[in-house]
Amino acid sequence: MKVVGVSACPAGLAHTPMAAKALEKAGKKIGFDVKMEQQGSMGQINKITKEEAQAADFVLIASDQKIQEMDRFEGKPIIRVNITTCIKAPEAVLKKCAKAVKEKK
Amino acid sequence: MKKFFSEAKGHLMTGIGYMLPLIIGASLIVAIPLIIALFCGVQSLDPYAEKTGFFHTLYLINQVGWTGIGLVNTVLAGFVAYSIADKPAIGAGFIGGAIATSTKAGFLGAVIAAFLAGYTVKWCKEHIKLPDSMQQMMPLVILPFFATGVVAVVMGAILATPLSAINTALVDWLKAMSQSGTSQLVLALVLGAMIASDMGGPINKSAWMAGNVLLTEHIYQPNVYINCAICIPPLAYAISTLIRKDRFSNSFKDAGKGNWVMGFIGITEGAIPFTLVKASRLIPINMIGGALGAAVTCLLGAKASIPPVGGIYGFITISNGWAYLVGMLVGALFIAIVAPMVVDFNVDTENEEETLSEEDIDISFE
Repeated sequence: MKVVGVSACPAGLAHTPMAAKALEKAGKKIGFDVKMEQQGSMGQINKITKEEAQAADFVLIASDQKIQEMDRFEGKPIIRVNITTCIKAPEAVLKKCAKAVKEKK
Repeated sequence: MKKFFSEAKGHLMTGIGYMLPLIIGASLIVAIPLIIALFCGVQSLDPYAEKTGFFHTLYLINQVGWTGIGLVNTVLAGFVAYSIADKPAIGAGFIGGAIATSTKAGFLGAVIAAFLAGYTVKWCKEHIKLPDSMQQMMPLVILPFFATGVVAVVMGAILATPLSAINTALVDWLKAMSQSGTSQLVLALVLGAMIASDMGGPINKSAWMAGNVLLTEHIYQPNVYINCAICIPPLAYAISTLIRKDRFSNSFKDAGKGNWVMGFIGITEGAIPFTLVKASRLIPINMIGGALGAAVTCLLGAKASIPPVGGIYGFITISNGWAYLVGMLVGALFIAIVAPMVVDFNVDTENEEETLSEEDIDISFE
């Protein structure tokens, strides 16, 4: 499973990098290739290119906020999950999303 | 309906996210000239408005800060509208926010204007169908026209008077509240608990937002309690890793060092990794600590006559600054002592079982 995603929170200081790291780590553990972009107070960190986006199986948005440059994800299944949930249970989030994407196909 | 509210909350949070740097920059530019003046023994810069010299320069700089604070509603409304419906809505949002300021409809008015602007654009995008040859007119002419038109009619004409009445009443009530002793204490308790509850989440941000909205109305007192409570959770865990070394794993001891900085400059988020170890027990403890600290600050008589600056060093902007520091220390010590008594931070969070199962997680496709 190849996953790209974006995390963002109102202040962009703590939740944003925490969620991104938690998801990437959980991905490694369960054998998913996860790349998370952080849209926090420092702008876009670890930016996802259009090519990477289009090669992914789904897009995970760890935020309930506005995400910049959503157009690069066009045509991909996009899933939104609350950011604190992603910090608390990144593994379960990834597994559930993967399952939901498979069912949708 | 539930989906609408969770979406609306997301838009509001986006707007607040864009407003944060504005308000922090502006309030510092308001405060610094005032602090310099205070050190020179000058209590207020207003008498220097028409004069020349050093204090007049300070006055001019201070006024620029106030211009920034005056933009709060405008920027908030603009970016909430932008969050809902992208570029075509942003102008109408700015206008709505500016109108909210000038008609005294305040924060409430700004939020209503922003949602009007955003959802008008969204509705038009879905329902107005033009022939292909005229499609280019949609984002440039039709959408901004309708959005601004709706804002003008509703905010400018229909709701201006009632909203300004509601807002004025609310501000007067809060003003009275920040002057009387008992309600002041209630205010400190509630704000302190809210700030420490979800550390950077929606509850924390609403309390913080309330403080800043009042700042634009020249009510400074609530911000003293908010700033005090913000420093408490990170400071508490920093202290705790020192006084109860045996209860913390090495990775938490490291995180504790970072929390000295977080506490010093006032970022509640630093306490999140600690709190997540056992949120059900630690959140109530954090809330009691925040409320206790704010209440002690209140009882010892910390008063703000200029816009308070956050962080530990914010005490210089407060008369009876020591009360602010004592309150902060009391709140932080409470958490620092109680938290390691009820929770063992030696657990290795790396390999800990996740507390949420897949069924508990809400996901939504776009």
